[in-house]
Amino acid sequence: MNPNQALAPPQPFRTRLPGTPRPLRFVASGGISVFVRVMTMVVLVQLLDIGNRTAYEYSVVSTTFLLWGLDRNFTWRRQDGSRVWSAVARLSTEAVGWLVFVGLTRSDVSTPAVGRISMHEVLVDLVSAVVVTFTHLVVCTWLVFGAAQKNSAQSRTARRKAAANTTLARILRGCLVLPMLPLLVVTTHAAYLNRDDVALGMWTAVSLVMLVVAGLTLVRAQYSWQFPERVDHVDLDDRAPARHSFSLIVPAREEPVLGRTLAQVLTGDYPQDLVQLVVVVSDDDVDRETREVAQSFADRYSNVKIVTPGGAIRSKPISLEDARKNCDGDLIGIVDAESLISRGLLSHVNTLAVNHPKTGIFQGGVQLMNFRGEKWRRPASGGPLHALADWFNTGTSWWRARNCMEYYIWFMSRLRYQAVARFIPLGGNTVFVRREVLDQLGGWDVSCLTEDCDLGVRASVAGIETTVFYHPDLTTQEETPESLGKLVVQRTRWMMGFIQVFQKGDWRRLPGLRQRVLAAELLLMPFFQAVAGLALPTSVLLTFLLRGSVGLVIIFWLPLMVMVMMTVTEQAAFREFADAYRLKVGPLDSARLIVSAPVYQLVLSVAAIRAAARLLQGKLEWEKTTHAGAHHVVMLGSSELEGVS
Amino acid sequence: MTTATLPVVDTGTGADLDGIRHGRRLGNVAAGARTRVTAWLLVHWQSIILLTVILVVCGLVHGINRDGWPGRVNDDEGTYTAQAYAMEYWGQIAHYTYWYDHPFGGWLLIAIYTTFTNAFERAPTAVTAARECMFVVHLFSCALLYLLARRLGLRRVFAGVSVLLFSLAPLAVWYQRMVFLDNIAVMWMLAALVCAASPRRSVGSAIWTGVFMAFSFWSKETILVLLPAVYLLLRQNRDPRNWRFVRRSFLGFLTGICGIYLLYAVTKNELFEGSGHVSLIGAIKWQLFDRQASGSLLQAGSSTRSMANLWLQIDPYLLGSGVVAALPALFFGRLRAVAILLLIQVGFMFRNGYMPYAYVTAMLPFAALCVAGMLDVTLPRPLVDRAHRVPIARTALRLVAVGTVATTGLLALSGDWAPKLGTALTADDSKPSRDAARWYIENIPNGHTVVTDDNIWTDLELAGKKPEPIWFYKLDLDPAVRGKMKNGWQDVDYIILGQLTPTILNDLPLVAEGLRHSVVVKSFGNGQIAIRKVIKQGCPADINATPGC
Repeated sequence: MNPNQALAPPQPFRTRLPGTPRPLRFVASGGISVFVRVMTMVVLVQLLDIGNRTAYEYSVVSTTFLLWGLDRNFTWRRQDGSRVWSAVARLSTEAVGWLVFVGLTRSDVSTPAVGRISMHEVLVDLVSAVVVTFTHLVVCTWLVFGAAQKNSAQSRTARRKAAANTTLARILRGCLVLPMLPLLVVTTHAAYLNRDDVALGMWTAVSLVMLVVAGLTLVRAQYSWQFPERVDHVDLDDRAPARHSFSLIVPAREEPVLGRTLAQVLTGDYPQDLVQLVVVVSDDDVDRETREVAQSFADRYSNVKIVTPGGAIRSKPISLEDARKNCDGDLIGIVDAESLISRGLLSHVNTLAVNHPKTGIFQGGVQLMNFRGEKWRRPASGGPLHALADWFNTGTSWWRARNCMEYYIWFMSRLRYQAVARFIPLGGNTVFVRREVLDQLGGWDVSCLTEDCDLGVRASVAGIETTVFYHPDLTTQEETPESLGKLVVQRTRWMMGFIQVFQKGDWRRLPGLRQRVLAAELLLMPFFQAVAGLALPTSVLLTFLLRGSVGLVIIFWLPLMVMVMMTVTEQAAFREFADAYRLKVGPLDSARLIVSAPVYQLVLSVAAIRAAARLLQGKLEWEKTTHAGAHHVVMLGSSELEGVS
Repeated sequence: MTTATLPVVDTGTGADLDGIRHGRRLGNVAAGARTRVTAWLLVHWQSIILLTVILVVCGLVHGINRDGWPGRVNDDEGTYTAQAYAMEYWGQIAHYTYWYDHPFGGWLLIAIYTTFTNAFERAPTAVTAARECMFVVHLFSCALLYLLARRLGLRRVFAGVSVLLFSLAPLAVWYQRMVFLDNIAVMWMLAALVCAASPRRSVGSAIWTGVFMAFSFWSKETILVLLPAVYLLLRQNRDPRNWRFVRRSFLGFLTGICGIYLLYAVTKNELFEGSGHVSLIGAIKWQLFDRQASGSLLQAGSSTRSMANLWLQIDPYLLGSGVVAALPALFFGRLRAVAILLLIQVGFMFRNGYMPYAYVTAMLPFAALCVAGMLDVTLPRPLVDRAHRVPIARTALRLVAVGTVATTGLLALSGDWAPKLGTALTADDSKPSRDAARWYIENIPNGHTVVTDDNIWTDLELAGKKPEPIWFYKLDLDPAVRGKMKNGWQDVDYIILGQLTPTILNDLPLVAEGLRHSVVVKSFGNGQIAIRKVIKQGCPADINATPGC
């Protein structure tokens, strides 16, 4: 007997459910719903001594929670339907049920005593439960999941989808909103009457959610330092003989610094016959200069290959896909044209690939270096107002240190946690994927704004192991965006990308519940960041304007306190960062890092709101950040780089 | 003094990662948990058995007759009980205006306990219910002290000795049975120290150190004077690789959670002094500067000196040997922090400040730990490494020293402690107060205004006496109460009080006036506490004959 068989985990209950015929499923789930509903109602009235209408509402809510998952996992198992519309259908039918209940119990307002349920009420509840459950079943069948046609063997799902998308179905779906209107009016009116309480209550809920999110973010930011043994995880002395061949993709678009990057790779310590460079430059006029630079390298080095795809629309994922077909190496890596990879990187990845044959993806560290800006020069033209705007945009550098710290904590700590938790949004470069893994995943999604994150999500779904390593000698050093405006543009793109990946829904197929929760939390980070930026002003306003009870006010402040703890952790990380790269940082830098925290959070909020706006407008094209090579000046210990640049 | 001063236990930090790596199916998690529990039991079974036995002994000594001895000697017990009652029943922080005397975390804990265990409804008196909470707190403190001793490298026997000293000293029984915030603060403090000495040296344990230290502050603010020693322990136990994060997380969480107290005052607009409301700064000023100082330990006749005398009278051994052991303990890395924890508190007694009645409470665990720690240091360990053989004479000397201390200790303690513990287990000194409360509840109908001490106040509240009983301090000191008593002392019908000192009566003119115009209706415990009826002006002395009075 295979010893592994005994150890195999028991199959989850879901997979053991046989393909129950649909009518049976409907009757079963409907029956369960009705039964649970009525029983909850009776128990609530008898136990809690509450009014019957309140008890009805409570029983609806609690049943919804109790039977969470019944619809998706049993009733409409393996059928795709819009979650939004199934929720709308649920709300709509509940509204009908509420109207039925209220209408039928109106006559006996003079119910003898609270806490006793009459037979009449039980019957009414039963009626409305039956109405709700079966209307919901029917509505969902026809309008959300699509009615199945008999004897449609192969493309049943497709037919259902088609059925759910006819014009008639759309109009009927729109009508679902109608039954909700009376309920909506009543609720709005009640909310308006208690608007202070509603505002306080909502903000309390937001604060509690933010507390959890901020707490989790804090713990994950500390992941690498949580235990002392975790800190130094890269052993540079461990070197395996060069075995794997690399294909490095260099997507270039208007990159005058391309030559430096290529030279840096070509003078690296890894055997040149095992390194292939695939430069992607478009063949249009904009990129002529860049193309010439690349061509000059291709003439001199046989392992440099130039791919010049046509096509009007260019973006990084499209370039990567174009290059992928030309890659021959075992490991495919991405090198941004403006970034310099470190000398020992390829040998270390080779070592990791030799030592961990099961690992499919290797993610190295990327580090922004210029935590102080350059000196600002007043623009030659323009009045004082223009100068002020320009100074604020490009002259200030309070945000640069924060940006550097974000990278440091993300690559040093957060990503390592994500790799262990088996849900990882990959970084944009210094990432090496085994070719067979990349082919298995089908390459990059060209329609995605953050193709790196998307690839990571799909790799996580496929259960591919990822190793994250961060060592100051191995990081790819980059520069912060030139100006605050550019930062916002970059962030907007990332956030749009995250929301896009969230909407794509690949993460729903992650194997574990915990992974899915983690994915939702991470991909919705733009949303949380938007709220976080607004948290401080809103909490202050609510504290002083609405005068909530002291307990509530303290709840409002709790997430802010966790954010303060985050800046405290950043202080420690800043010192680590300075030590790791032998940078001189003073107390002024630390102070600036603290003071700038709330403002930076606001900037992120702006980016998040901008991202949401652009998504709603359907603007999905790339806004590219440009690079001037600032880090080449700031970086210490760069003597070996100066020779090449 | 390096990281090597504390024993390093390598608990594989990879374990949790493996759990995540190999899927998260429910069966696997359960199997993993089972293996971990088994491993844990295999490693710790000796400690578990020892600690269980010790906890049973301590539980018996502290549990039996915990209401009877000590008697109701301190009104603070009643105050904290009443405040916990106010939290549970009224949802308010105190039964009268909260004036920032102490942060309210201590009685919040009592209120949580009484709410979940229904203690007020069960116990014969309200203070008994709160003492029940103290009993649980004490058991937790004992377990934490054992854990701390082990983490400081004491052998199991000596860890056990420290817990026994801490729990069985008559001084400890006296103070730890009473409802004092210091007991709660000490429990959190021990929890913080246990986390600070964590062998994993994780950022998480530093965060918990900060959180527990802050809880300790929330229970009794004075505990913050011990902060330097906690920091020292954390620092001794540090690992350079994550010390930056550890340090900042500790201080950050500590300040953050303590800062909620400030935030609370700010939200209620009670931070700064102002007319018509209490204030945090006002309260701090009063505690630090305006409150009458108790004098220094060096001053003969000062209240600090008499307090110290009282402690030594109850039990001279634990405190005395603790202070003696603390001095050499300063020279041993692993005991240094504990010795400093004790000596800081001893040092504060030489300063001319206010000395609370329960001040000694926070000294007891560290005194016990210093004594047991010094014994552990002195007793030679069995040789592992034969190359470093120690001269036999020195080993013999150390054995003799420990033997002598142990024997004299056992002899002296059994002679001195046994009778005292006997009293603690049998004497019912609380009877008068309990009887007075019951008599009043059973014999005086509603509709009479009664002024009482805080021990009985909650009992009358729980019995549903209307109008609300008045805590005697508030009659004079709380403007809100005084405002309701238009005719001064003449609005009072009954007074239930023990003996008050002339100094207290000087501060409370209305109470004094009421007492002067009252006759004793019934007295309990040889006049320890009496129920008095106030004779209003115009009423003859023979009140029973005149119905209107």
